[in-house]
Amino acid sequence: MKLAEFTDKHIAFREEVRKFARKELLEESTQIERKGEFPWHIINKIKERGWLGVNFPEEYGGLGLDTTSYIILVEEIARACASTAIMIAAHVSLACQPIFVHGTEEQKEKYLIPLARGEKIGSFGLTEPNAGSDAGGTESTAKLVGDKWIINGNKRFITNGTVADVIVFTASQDRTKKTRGISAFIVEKGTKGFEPGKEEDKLGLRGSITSELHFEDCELLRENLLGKEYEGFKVFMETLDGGRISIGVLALGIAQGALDYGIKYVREHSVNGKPLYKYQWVQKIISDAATEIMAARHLIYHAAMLKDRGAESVTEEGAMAKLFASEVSTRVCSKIHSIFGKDGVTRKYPLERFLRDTKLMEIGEGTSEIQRIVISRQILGR
Amino acid sequence: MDWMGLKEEHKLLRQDIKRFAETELAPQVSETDKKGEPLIASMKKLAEIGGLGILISEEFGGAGMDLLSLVITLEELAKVSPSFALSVAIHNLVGDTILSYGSTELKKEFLSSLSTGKIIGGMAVDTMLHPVASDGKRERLIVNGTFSDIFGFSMEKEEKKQFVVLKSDKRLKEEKEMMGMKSSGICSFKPNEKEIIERNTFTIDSPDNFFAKMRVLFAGVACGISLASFGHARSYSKERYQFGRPIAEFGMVRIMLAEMASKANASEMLVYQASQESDILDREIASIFAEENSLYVTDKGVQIYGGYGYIKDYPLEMFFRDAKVLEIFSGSVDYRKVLVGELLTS
Repeated sequence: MKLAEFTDKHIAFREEVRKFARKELLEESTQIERKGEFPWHIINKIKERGWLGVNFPEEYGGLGLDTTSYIILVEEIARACASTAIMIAAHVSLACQPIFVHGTEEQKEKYLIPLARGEKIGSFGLTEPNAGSDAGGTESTAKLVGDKWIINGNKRFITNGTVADVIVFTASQDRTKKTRGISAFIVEKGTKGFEPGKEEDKLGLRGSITSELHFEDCELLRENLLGKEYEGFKVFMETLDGGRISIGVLALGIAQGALDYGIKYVREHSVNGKPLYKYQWVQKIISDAATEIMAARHLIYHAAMLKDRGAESVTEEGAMAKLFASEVSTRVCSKIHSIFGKDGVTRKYPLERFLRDTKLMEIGEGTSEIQRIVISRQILGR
Repeated sequence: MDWMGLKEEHKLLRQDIKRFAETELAPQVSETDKKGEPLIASMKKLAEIGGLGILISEEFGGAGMDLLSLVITLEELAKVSPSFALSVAIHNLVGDTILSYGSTELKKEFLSSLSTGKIIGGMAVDTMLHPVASDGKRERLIVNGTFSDIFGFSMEKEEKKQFVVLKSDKRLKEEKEMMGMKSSGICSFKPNEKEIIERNTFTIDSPDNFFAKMRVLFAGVACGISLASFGHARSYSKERYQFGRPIAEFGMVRIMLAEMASKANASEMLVYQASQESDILDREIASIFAEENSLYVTDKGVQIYGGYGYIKDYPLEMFFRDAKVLEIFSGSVDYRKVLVGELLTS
């Protein structure tokens, strides 16, 4: 479909990604899920196209495209393989972006350029066993001892955790100050005292890595601080703000994928001798799904375009987009999955995987409940 | 829920099955679900307390109990392992079908062995409500197929619903990548007209009754799934602290829990009532209601657990998958609504 404000460049880019996804990713996606390993072979192809830095300036190793293009990228990838898409989204929105916004020139040179080029993989270590929705409840500590930061703590549910080369993370310099005590840092894989931990066995997104991170008297140089001391909360709140649109579009991509399969299926299958697409109950599911997906699509690309037009923040629009798209996607995937009957309960069709994959979009990067609080605060104040 | 229709025997049965589920099944569920392994030994153990011949008359070694008793059994089992509950439902249904419609020879041959768990029964659960491809070929899904000794399936022949009982053989292909109900030993099978010999086949006189009964049993499983998801979520919300307090104190969490409780309890009542009455419409309505609501409740169960609901360390994601697969066995809920609408207006 043509969104009212897509430029010809956007449409051409979308076509390019779509072709790639169809050719390289669609059939692979079942294997990626089965193996449960980081899909290096696919990521390498994506990196070669410069897509791991699609929306960063060329001077920083990126392709110099806009946010809308990045969102298009995530959608088209997600339609074929949500696991690959979330890996990209975490890398771009959660690792590259905070370094781009808050990093010094040295940090951008050292970290952002290789990340944007895809030479290194990025990750964002925010969540902890006791700091989920309450992301500000960070228990990891950072102590400045002489010229070094000493980091201690544990992170959980970190996308790309075991494969990331560069990890942006939060730790508290002063827990009595609560959110105002948090600072953001950058750590590299292989640093003494830093180790990725156990990988999670998940409901969905099984081709993506979600793991623990452990810091034990990990020593970092002063220049590993990202942004100013005690401003880590601000860094990650902004980062999450931006990340919301990418998670929302991920959900949208999955939903669109489910709809595409559903449309094909109802044309080719019958129940009681009558083609499925002729039944009203099927028509209702398909039309409701298409309508809700269209609405989600507008919310998402609206937020992306606002950003491209220089909006200082898209807190409300981004949260609305993520909230709506993720809930729509779960609903759509569930309903369309039901049409498949017993063809949906095995891996014969990817519908069951779409449902398992999309459920996380209502939880990760801020649950739907948190999104509702964010939105209501914008409207009603605190 | 405490319901006036429950007799003392039902309450005692519930306690027995609950104890069985907690001691026998609970320690095994997580690992066996991950690996997709059936709990065959546990089925044999359940037979020892009469759980495999609930509807079979005492004449044939069964417990001679009513449909509500079987529903309660399935509900309690499903609270711990929906897969196991599904297996038990199907095994009981095979015996009940033979009892209700089969020849004297078949009853003599199979019923007491089924009741004692000497043999395990499997059955195809797909119905005419399932989509077929344009070529019309239909592959059947057999529950308990990987470990059953005999299995049954229904076929249309000369406009009559025939039920065929066969010895399990290697034509039953294991479905290794099930979305849910992973421990129910599900297989696919392509029936061949030639092997249906008269001896093994009988007519189901009232197919609508047959399917309605099957759906009530599945609805019982759905109730167990809903009640368990709700129960876990409620406990967790009291233990999980964020922002300095239990998440149970947050309005949005309370709303979800209230909705889950309402839907789970209402489902249970409808299903119990439908088990007592033999009204087909009541059973179809109860089945749709319980299953559709189990989708909602399991979804919120995962949601309340947040990231922890998405990992296999906790059972919420299993309930989510199992509820979805269960819905499919009876045929898509939305299609069944159309059929109920037809029943309501004909």
